[in-house]
Amino acid sequence: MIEVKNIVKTFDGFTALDGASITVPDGGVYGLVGPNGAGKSTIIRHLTGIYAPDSGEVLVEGEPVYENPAKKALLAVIPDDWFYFPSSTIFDMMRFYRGFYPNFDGNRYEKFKEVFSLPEKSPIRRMSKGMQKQAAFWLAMCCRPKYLILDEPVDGLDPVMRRQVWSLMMSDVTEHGTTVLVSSHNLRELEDVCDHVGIMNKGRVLLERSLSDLQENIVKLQAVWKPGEVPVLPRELEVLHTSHVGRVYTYIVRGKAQEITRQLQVHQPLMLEALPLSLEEIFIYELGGEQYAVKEIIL
Amino acid sequence: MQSKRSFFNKALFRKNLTRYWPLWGGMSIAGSFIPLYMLLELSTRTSLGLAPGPNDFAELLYGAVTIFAPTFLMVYALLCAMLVWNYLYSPRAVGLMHTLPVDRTCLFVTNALSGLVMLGIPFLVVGGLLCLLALAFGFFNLLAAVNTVAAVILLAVLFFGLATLCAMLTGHTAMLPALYLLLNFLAALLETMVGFLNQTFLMGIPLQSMQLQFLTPLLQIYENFTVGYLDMEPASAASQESAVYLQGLGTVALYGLAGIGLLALSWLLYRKRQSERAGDIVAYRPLRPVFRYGVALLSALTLGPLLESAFWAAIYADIPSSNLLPMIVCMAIAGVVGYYVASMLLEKSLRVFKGSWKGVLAVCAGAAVICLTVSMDLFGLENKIPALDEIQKVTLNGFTCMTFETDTAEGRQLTEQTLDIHRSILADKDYIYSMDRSKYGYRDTQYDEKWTYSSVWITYYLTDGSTLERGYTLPVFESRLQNADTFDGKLYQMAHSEEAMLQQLGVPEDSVPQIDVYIQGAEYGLSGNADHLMDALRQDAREGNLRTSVFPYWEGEATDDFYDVRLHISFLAKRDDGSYTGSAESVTLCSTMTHTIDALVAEGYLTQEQMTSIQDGDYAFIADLEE
Repeated sequence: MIEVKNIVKTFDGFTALDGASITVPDGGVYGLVGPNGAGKSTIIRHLTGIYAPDSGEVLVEGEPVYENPAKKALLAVIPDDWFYFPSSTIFDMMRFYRGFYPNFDGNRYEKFKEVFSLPEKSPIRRMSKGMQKQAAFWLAMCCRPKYLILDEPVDGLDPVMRRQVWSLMMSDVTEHGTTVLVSSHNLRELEDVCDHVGIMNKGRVLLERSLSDLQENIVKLQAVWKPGEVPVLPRELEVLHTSHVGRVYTYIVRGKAQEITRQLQVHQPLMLEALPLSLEEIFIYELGGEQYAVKEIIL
Repeated sequence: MQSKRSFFNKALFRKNLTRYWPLWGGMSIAGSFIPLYMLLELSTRTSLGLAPGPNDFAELLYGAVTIFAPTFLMVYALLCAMLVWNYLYSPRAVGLMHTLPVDRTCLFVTNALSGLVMLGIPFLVVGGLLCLLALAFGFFNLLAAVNTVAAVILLAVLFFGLATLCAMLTGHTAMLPALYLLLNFLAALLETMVGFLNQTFLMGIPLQSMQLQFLTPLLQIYENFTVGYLDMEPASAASQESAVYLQGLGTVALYGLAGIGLLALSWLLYRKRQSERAGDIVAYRPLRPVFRYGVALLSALTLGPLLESAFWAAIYADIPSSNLLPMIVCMAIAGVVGYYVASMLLEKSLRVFKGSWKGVLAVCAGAAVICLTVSMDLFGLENKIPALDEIQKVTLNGFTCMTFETDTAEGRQLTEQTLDIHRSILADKDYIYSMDRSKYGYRDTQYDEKWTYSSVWITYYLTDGSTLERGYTLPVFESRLQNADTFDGKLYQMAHSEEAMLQQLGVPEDSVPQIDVYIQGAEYGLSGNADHLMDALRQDAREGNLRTSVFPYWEGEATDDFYDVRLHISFLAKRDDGSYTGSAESVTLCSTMTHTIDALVAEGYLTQEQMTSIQDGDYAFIADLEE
């Protein structure tokens, strides 16, 4: 299990992480989402032992990861800007990684040659951004990590390769119990693979739950009321957003769909329907309360 | 899974060596020309029947390691450090390296060893080829090879340690060489600049007094690390097996230890280094003010006096007190410029002016404090004269060159005389400065008598092992030479004592002199019995017949007492450690040196007719000598 407890990190007076905490359970896919500058990459750099927190703890299997080779050996990371030595080839980098990661799987490296179809002996710098990303996946997955940490992992990959990579990762999750922590802006994609989600903003983790819990705890209701009888909703309901088009009112309410529907039925709507929210909608409405909403700008 | 702690990673080591092979490979190939040249040289010498011996091999290696290696290693160590530590300066690269499942100690040790091995490979290649060559030609010297290897390793550790420390202190590639060069010469630079300030405001403080030279390794090494020659008497040099040795290997060993200390300090710093500092000029936040004010101080000390020289001192340089305010202003301006440049580098922005008034004020105040401290001589440098009991030895260089030790009654008396002269100079400070004012353009018209400027240099070797040096440029007037109360009179009197005259010859009793005679500045191959001529010179010295030349020829002195004949005495003197050193002295012939004049004629250097011509001031006969 990966645990980040209340970490604070400042860069020359700018607070990048302000008491952020996450818990990544083993054997699943954890999606870390948030707007630009929320602190996702910073938290990942703490998880991989690059940064030391100003305060707080970053634990892998109960031990601090910073300067802990044994725990770092369990991790493989693919940052959004993967570094390779100038003029080195995939083969060179494989030899380099093999010298560090005790579980490096040479057979897997050979098998993945067919999957990725990359020129193994060509300088990586000559490859396209997407090909470089594939190379990063190839090498990271050969390290046989227990924890695979990905920062904007599929940026630059074509749809086929994107699906291929996710397929490989998901098979590792199911077959080997690999834990994947992924930070991405592509919420539709995350929705398909994540079982846990953490939403970050301004250096803090706003909420963290399993995706099903999250979807069960926030509901979109569409209601049609009798003309001139639009009720005032009960105060105990936590309404995140209200809008209406004609007589159709849409409410985003935090809580269980069944309970909220029961409370609204009291006002005798002509029609009342509870709809599930997509991760993207949850993201938008949760952050709306944090003054991070789409601004209506007229140019 | 790694269960035990590792201090070295083979993959990283191999990667470093394979990535940077063009550097060490290129150096090795370039260095291989040395053995190639030597092979050709040896073939030529062997064909001429001049087979080299082990001493020649030792001399070759020692010469290379003392002359070539220090500068080469200083530069090459920087290049190696720049390569192995360059990942610290890129956020992406540092991200990769610090994600790897090794700790920083392992990364540090592996990278440091990679750098040191890269440093050593060219020496290994060149040294190995030289040894093979020496073995093939039968003049291999194992001791010399071991000493050379030890010296190279120690020098490599020193310079790589310093470069590594600089690599740790900064987070920017361009800053590393700048900082490295600065730290290598910082002490010398600061001493020079402070010395220059002292010279501006104080009388007699020399510029070349390097108390902190040990902090400038290259200078210290070049001064102390040399090839020594044991018992190198001309006749027996070839037969001495251990004639050549490395002098100052101990100094290099101390620097090597310092290099290990620097590496240890670098390791401690690396453990605390924040990865996010990649790209910053200064890698540690607490060092940012040190950098900011350090650059301001350096700028004030170097550019300030330059500005002052350019805009003020060139016109009004003569009175030190008048330089105070301009110097404060110039140093403050230079310091503020340095302060803002450092701030811009630190912030990576030109917008550093807002709210900087406190720093600017501090820099200006600092400039004023430095100038006032120096000009008011708060440390009492100008008037510092050691007590007689504190002095072990004195060298007085003024009118004549004398050295005397205080362990004899005569030496103590001469020391007291020197102290008296020193006090008189300080007491006449205002007079000296008032004369100094007239050196620009009024020399010939202002005075009716003969006068000149003379340099006087006094070095006190103190009982605590330190030295105190003072140097003065003094106005000397003919009328004051006979006045025993003036510093010129006291100097003149001392220069004509018997002890001074014997010392003026400067030739030890047991040395073998060779005397060349120069007439009107040219040597005409005149020769004779040098031993007898030397005895005559000593006899003249004992009788007080030698004269010290005070005024230059154009002041008319030469036609009064001195002939335009100079006796150049070169000799080999034996050192305390048994080795020999060559030296030379020069004596100008004057009319009072009767024994020498007689000996020059008697020993066949000059004919009686030529000597008579010289005494008459007629040098026409040298045309015949030229033919």
